[in-house]
Amino acid sequence: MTPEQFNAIYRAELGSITRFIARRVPDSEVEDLAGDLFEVAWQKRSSIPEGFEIPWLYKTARYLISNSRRKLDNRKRIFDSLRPPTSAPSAESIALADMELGASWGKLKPQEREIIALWALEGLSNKEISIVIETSENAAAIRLTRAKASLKYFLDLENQSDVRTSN
Amino acid sequence: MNDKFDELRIRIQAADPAQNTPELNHAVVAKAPLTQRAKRLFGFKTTRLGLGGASAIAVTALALTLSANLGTQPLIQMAVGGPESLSAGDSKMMAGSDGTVGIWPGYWVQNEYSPGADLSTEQGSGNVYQLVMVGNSSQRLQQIADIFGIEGSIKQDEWSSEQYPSYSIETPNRQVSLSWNGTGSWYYSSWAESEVRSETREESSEMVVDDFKPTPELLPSESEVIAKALEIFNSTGLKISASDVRTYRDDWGTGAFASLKVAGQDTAIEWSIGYDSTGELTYASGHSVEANERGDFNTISALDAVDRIADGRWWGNPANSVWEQYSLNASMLKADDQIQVNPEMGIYPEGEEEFIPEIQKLVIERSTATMLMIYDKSGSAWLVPGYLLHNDKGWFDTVISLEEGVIELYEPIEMGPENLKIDEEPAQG
Repeated sequence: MTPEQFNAIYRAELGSITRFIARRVPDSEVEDLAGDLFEVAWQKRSSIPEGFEIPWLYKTARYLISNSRRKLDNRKRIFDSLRPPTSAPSAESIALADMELGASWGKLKPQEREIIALWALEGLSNKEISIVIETSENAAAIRLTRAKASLKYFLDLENQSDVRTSN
Repeated sequence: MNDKFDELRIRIQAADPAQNTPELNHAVVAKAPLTQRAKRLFGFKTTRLGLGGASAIAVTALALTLSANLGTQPLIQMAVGGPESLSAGDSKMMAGSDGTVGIWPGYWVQNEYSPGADLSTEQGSGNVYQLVMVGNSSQRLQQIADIFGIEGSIKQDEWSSEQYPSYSIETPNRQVSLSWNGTGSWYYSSWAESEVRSETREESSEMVVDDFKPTPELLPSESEVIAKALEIFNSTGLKISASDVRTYRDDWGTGAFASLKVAGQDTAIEWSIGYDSTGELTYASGHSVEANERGDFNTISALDAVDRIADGRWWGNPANSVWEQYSLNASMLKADDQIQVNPEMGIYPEGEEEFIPEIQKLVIERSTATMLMIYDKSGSAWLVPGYLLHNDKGWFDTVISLEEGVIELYEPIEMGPENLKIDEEPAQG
């Protein structure tokens, strides 16, 4: 693959990748992470499955984000060292637009937040999600179903709480 | 494709924090092929202040003996980090772990601490342990792979860097990976296809939806889970007995955890296994360290430790069993006990430049001596004495109790809520 071909393919994904990273890190880090990501993509261009560039980019970006968080935040680094890598928008960022959703989002497990974000925000199919989180399509579908059910459950609790408060 | 969660998806999309993000310049792609590989992979050109101020307890271990003059040469030298990535749940639990400001969804709360009447004024001492990775990365990864019966060659992961080396052995549906820094954490994952019960239904003429159903009857029993946990944990270096294993179970899966005990105390270093709904072992994780004692050091009283909460730089990670206990307690709080937040406070009022945080007064009612995990600049992990400081709102903070001089704090970080401000300008380009 020539640099020109690389540019043609990956420029088309730049918007999606920008938003994927921006949902998960401060604005000041987006460009650095995106630059690192495309460098890795160039180095690994021969091993990226044709037609699956986007889930491959998300998968690798997920690790880059996880590593950058570990580097920048000791406390998060501790958690990350104890858990599988995840990357998902924070409850705080979600809550800025929807406080009730943010509260429920904060109650989800990190893996649940991540898979819901891949479904709702990145708009990935079960197959694509399975590539990003490195599991089977079947398992990805199950995890997504469970995560959506959990979020809906917490939202229902929030609604009930609001009703009680208003009464 | 629409499904029964369509409203949920629309709501999440409406709250998308990146919906106004401008697209990066195309040069970020174009320059990738021009970059020499010698360039740093994960370096950052920018230094970021965290939302909640100081939280990092990174330390640099200096090669000291116990007779060293601690007044001039600290055992531990702290470094800076940012707490941006804390979850809301973590923030709620750790009331003041970010200095004096808690990160709450959508608003800010400034905590003010005062000690309760019953806090101890007794000073004491406690051991410091350095967690040292055992062996080398290749041997360790191969050992883990052998335990799970995975055959293949070791490859360096694409996201591996000099500072965070990462390796894996992979088959088409199973993988073991190892992060060779910090605690040498390893992770096993299996995504072998298994029969999952599902029901297919038609929502409309064009739409078919699969509802996956749990199969709890396929899950192993609790005693089987514990037996498997003991087998894996013991063979990977965590020597424990059945009474040390904690389990969880719901219709969708089951699993077990156990903590590395040091001097009889649970620590934040934890092993785990998990089964999916079909009863397959789908993941396991653990670490590759042993605790080397570095000596006994004086500690401050619980009363004096209260003053350290607001500083934020004395935070350390307690054992997971503490988090779990507090999660349970928090979920059991009555609605009336939870903090009521005035939605008009803790935000930038329109047209105002000055941020007005909500003040929350917290009384530290009691303390528990514990062991806290911290990291150093090189990524090495340490266990140090500390306190859990329990407040009257049902949460806790952790504070390292080592006396001044053992740890050299990093410079305080100036922080402010402006870090949360969102640029309301519409997307460009």
